[in-house]
Amino acid sequence: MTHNNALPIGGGSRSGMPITTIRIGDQASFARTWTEADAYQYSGIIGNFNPLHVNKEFAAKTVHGQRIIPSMLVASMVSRIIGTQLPGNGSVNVAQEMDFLAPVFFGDTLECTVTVTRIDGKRHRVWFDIECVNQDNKVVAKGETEVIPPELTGGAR
Amino acid sequence: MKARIGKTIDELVIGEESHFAKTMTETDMMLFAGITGDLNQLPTNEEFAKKTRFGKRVAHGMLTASFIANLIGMKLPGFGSMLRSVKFRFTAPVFLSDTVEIGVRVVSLDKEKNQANFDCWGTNQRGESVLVGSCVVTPPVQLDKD
Repeated sequence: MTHNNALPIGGGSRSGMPITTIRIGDQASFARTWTEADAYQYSGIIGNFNPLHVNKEFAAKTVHGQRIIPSMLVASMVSRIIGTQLPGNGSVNVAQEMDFLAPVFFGDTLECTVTVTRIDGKRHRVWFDIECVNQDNKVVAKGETEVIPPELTGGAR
Repeated sequence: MKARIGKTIDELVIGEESHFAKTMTETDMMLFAGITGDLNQLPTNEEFAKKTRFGKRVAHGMLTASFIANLIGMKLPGFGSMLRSVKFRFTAPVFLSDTVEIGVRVVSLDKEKNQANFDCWGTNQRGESVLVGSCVVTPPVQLDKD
């Protein structure tokens, strides 16, 4: 089953999918264009002014030839899918591994897909494979994440 | 304008460390939610968070982990570094208003591939571990036309 719609604005305060409704092979994707605005705002929050991301003249002299989107911002696409789509609200990311295989440039459009690979009901954990591709279908990042799906015991609905 | 780079692989020393600490504010969490689109209610909705086992808002894990990139990009190795691979585990939740200190340490160097391997960790204001992990970095090289 695919879960490609984020929770609706306004009605989005409901808890995401409990572990009992998640199946191996379930997928969710999210696609977006990464812009200069994203990279600059993110750099400001993190305090990472690596010129590779924020200095056009510096980046022009590197092997990449232009500014690149910070790797951890690409990795955060997974956070968005887990937190708003599958399993959704109340999910907690407990571990993540990512390999960044190719640079992502300003203006690139990425589609990131997560697929459920393992479910442990006893420990209340779900594992996902991660793959992010760019507009040319080139794989730019791959990885794995371990998630605690929303727990209903605390009364959140 | 002279382009300054951080430490090249030949300048890095095994065992060398760098640290950075920041208080996780509502501003950080809300801006991160907006930029990434991660409007998970656990970090962004106080009423929702109250009803979970955490009892209050928990910062996005990826926001805490992102501070690793601050150290790699600004201090060790510094300007021009690129993250190739990351691996981390969140060992405890980081709550709104917690102060997190992140550390990175050079553990091995592969000069042939121009890759530096780092251990990474995070602790909160009570000294509790919140993050453990590692990352692989390409340190900067001397720039063309410079």
